[in-house]
Amino acid sequence: MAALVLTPIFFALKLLLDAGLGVVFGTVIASALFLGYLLRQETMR
Amino acid sequence: MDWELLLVIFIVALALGFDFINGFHDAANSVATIVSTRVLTPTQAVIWAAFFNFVAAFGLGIHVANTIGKGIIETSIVDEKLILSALVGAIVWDIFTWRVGLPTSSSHALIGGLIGAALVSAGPDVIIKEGVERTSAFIVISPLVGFIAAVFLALAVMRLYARIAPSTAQGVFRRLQLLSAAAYSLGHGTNDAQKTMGIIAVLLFTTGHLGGEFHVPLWVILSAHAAIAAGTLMGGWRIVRTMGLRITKLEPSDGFAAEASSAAAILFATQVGIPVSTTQTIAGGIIGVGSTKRLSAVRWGVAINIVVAWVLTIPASAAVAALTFAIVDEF
Repeated sequence: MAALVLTPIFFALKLLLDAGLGVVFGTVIASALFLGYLLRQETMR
Repeated sequence: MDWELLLVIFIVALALGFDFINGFHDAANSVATIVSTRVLTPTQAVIWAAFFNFVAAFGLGIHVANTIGKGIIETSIVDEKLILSALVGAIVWDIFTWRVGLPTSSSHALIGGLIGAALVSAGPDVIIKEGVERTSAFIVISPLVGFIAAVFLALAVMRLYARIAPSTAQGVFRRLQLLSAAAYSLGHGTNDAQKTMGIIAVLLFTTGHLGGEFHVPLWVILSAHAAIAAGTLMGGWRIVRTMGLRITKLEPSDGFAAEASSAAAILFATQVGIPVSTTQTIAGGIIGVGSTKRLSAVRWGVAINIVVAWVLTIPASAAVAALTFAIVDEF
């Protein structure tokens, strides 16, 4: 289960890193903020 | 024995001492989760973590050591004074932040130390921009990746709980946490010990003790891993005495999700040769797991302290190293 969840995340991270440092930096920050927003919506109900 | 060789031996010992302190300081990260879930006793947890810190010497590469050794500053300007100043900068900043309770990274302090000493020694042209940029970006990226991975893993665990009996699930996760704790200690051992290896290797190389080509000798690899494992063992024993039941109670599934996700983030960074903060990465993982339950349950003060540490560590340790170099260079 852990491999199924983690492997795609780190595969995507490697692709982003190959695309450039700015790309991975921006994508990770945006994803973390978006995830935080979704969690806030879900857990505030 | 000549004085130059004695100085090199002293700096190697200082670097291994820095590595030992790193293990000592981070022992809590390695054992706290698995002890709080009662999967291992404190004694077993300390031995488990130290063992995997040492085993990490075998088969996980030396990409981070190469980055520290020849990817941050030009090796042509490295000498005993520069490495000594970098180590003093990192150690002074680590001790100061430990006293004030700021969760800083020894790795970032070491990189700041190298940059500060190099700037005073030879100016900005000797700083390798690409290496500094990658490392600086991962100061932020690594804990956030730990956070994101932990959120997804914790959500997957919650779905699993909906399908099977909670007692069965907890039994499974108790066993799985042994693996996740081992993976975290492997990641901690390999990423952190390699920073010391890089420092020692570049010192030996530039002082003519490594031959014509930069490489990391086996004795350096083994001694760096032994130092960090010994630090974990000693730091862990201290925790065993003082910890009692003060650690927050976690479910084994929470501990598994936090450890597995941060271990994956650290091992990923290690494979691409980027030094990261293991402390801040597992903090990201724990915040991720906590966020899936209730955002307000997370102690956001810790997250804010991490951001303060991100901003301050490299400039502050660079300043201490620069000052040290200026003083040492007078002799």
